[in-house]
Amino acid sequence: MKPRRGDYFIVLIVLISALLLAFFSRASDEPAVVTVMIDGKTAQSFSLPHIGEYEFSGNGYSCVVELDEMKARVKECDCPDGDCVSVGWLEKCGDRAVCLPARIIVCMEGNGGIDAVVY
Amino acid sequence: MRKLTSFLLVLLLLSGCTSGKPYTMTFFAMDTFMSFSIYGEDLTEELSRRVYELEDIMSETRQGSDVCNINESKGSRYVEVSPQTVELLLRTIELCHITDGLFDPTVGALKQLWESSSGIPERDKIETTLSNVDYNKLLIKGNTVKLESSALLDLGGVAKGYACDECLDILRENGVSQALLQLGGSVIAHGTNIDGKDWKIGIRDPDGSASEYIAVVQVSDTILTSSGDYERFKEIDGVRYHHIFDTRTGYPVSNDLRSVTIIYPEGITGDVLSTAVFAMGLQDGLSFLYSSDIEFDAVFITKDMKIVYTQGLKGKIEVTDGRYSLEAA
Amino acid sequence: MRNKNIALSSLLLAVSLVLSYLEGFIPFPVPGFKLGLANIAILVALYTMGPLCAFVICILKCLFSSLFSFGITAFLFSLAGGLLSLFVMIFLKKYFSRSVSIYGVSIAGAAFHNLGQIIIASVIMETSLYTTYLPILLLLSVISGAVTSVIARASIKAVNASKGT
Repeated sequence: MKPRRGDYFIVLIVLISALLLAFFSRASDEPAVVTVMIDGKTAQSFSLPHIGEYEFSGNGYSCVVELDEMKARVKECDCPDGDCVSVGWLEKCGDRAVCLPARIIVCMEGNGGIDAVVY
Repeated sequence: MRKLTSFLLVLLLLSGCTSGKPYTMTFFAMDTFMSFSIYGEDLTEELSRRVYELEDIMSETRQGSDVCNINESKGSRYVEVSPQTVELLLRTIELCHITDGLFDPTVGALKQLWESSSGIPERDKIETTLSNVDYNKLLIKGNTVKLESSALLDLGGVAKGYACDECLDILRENGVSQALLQLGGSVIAHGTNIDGKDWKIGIRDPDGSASEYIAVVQVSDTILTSSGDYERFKEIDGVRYHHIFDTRTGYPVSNDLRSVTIIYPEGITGDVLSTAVFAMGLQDGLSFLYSSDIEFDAVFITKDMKIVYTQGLKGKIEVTDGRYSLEAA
Repeated sequence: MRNKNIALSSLLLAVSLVLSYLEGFIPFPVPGFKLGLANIAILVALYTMGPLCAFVICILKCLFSSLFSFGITAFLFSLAGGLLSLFVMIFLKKYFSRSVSIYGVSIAGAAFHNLGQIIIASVIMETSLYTTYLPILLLLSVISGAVTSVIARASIKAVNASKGT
């Protein structure tokens, strides 16, 4: 069966939306802070660069977050998903590792759109 | 349909490639934290090397540095120094004239007095030390320098500015047109940001940490330098004494200002002016600005929660902390 | 007719659960992306038995695949993606079936499935929209949508043939 006109239309819309989103949500910040949120609230923030390993627990599960200079990742997690670990290293602003069962999010954030502070 | 898909996929991949990541490096030098971000070419090695070199020459604590050699000779003779030191001193002296000595690189002894005293130093000690603070006692002959009497040279107030200028030279020599270099608190906003827009630089919250800010300025192709009452301070009997000294009184600057940020494309000038204008206070600082040949912009943060900015920053500054109000000079 | 529907629905539900389970073993660099093979079952249901059956199968699939193994959050995730996807597909099939074939329906379904999951993720985590991965997910949904629709179409043919319609 041949695809109909509407099918091409849908494909085009999806692809164009993807392109537009990619273009406009490009991180303009440099990574500056790694924020770990548990249950929607910020548990701890790390100012980059930073090196260390920290354990966070939520909803009965615990994850080990590793920070290495300007990047971070969920190193280990005893949750049944493993999604949070498989994401790998978070390097750009907006990169996130989400552990649904533990309700833990690790995200890479910029410093509010500014490039530096003069002091 | 397949052709369309692959075509659009390629477009998407390409758009990612042209964004370009900067070359970055963070390191510790000149007693402070430095962070470089350069677009186009990896000059991090060369730049950091130059900064380390300058630190070796200009540190007042490192044995064998020009400053140490000059101070140790105690005015007995002319000491041979590197050409950078000569260049720095000549320009600094010029600026001292312009600011009537409110900035003075021979303030070393005064600093030492305050740092070594457990409380407030005795008045007559301050006065004696003050009498030795005089940039005119700095004599330069060729590539040798002599500092008369018991004055002490301290280039801490200009070394970073000079390093900024050297770094800027390196960037220009290598054809780099976009970079953001942070040397301690000084910021070199070279060219524009990668998307062609101005760099957004936060002005430090005088009551917060070095990464908290109360206003943002949009700048390009310039250097930002701040002086304020928040750095290296001592608390004596509940009163804060910071380390920027009023060369007229011998005491830390005490007026209506919390900080001044100078925006000007030359680093040494920014360094000297930020100290001098801070010492002047708001009114005198503005008068100086209007009457000076040097065309610089400034942001003053006053003790009564005002952020005063000069005309050149019109439309390029915004307050981000509700406790402060923005005012045009 | 009704009995046949129940039998077919159960079969499709089982198939979707198995597919859902199996595709978890395919590693993907992008978090949150699933090939959506289970959508094949939903599509078949939609085109052979109608929106109501598809709806029931969808809900049951979400219940069985996530609630009992991962908990309520995963269930909500699955449900959000599944339902949004389903409603879009029902809508397209009902009002645009002249210009949109099963290919388009499937692709739109896949795209909205991902979108639904992202929306619910942002709601649950109380953060702003996670748009970072959306572009890639949307792109991949075109491919996955196309793949599932091809398989679904073949299955639909088989089902119709066996029904004798």
